Amino acid sequence: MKQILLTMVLFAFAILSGCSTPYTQKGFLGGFTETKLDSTSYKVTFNGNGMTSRETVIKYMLYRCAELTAEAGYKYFEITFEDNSTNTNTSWTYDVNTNSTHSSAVVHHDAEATIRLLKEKPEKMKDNIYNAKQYMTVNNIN
Amino acid sequence: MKAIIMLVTPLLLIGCATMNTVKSGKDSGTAVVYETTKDNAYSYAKKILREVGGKVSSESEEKGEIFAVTGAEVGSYGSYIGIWVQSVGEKKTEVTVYTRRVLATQLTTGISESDFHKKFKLYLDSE
Repeated sequence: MKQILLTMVLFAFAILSGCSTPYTQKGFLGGFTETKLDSTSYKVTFNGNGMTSRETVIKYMLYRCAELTAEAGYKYFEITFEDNSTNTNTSWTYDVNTNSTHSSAVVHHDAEATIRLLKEKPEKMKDNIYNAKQYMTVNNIN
Repeated sequence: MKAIIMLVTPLLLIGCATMNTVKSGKDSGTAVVYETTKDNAYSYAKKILREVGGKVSSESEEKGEIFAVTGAEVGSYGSYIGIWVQSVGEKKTEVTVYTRRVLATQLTTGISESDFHKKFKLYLDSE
């Protein structure tokens, strides 16, 4: 029984470790989180796993910013702070044939932004100000 | 051994580009005229760079020039990209994009000239 359970866990891990981070709330494979800072400001992060490119991580983080803006009844969001980081973790794998463990470096990307929600279109649409609906149309993730 | 190094090193370096290669390569880039203002075009260009994780190394909004590196990941040096935004009439702006791989032999690159224009057009169409 123990062996079957162990096999199932290893099998599930093998499958999941081959999947990129989906656009969803943070879970085992990564995802987005948000913290409300005040009535119109949020901190949004997206954590990717080793199978998710930096471009996708940034795209998903900005998509969540746009979605949050629309959900709160606002039209625009302004990025007041942004940070993209690349981190390296060590992953261990066990080889049953040789009865040995191997380590490998897993690189994953994270993106974070602090945003301010805006109801009205600003006089000048600077590059850090996004129309939420427009962003979601251009960067359709479905 | 010394002979191999002397033979291989120039071969590897031949394929290398620098940011200066891109800065002087506007004429080799892909230019498209869009019906928008220079300010708007500059803003969209910067947005696209942000979205692909590009690192801007220098820019001048006044001159309408942006130089950046895109697609730099582990195992890839990415590509240099130069973007020129010039007003060519009332609400008409020419956007020129020129990219060069940092190392010609690498497989993965940053955003291509055509993908940049594709996304730029999507932004304008969704206004």
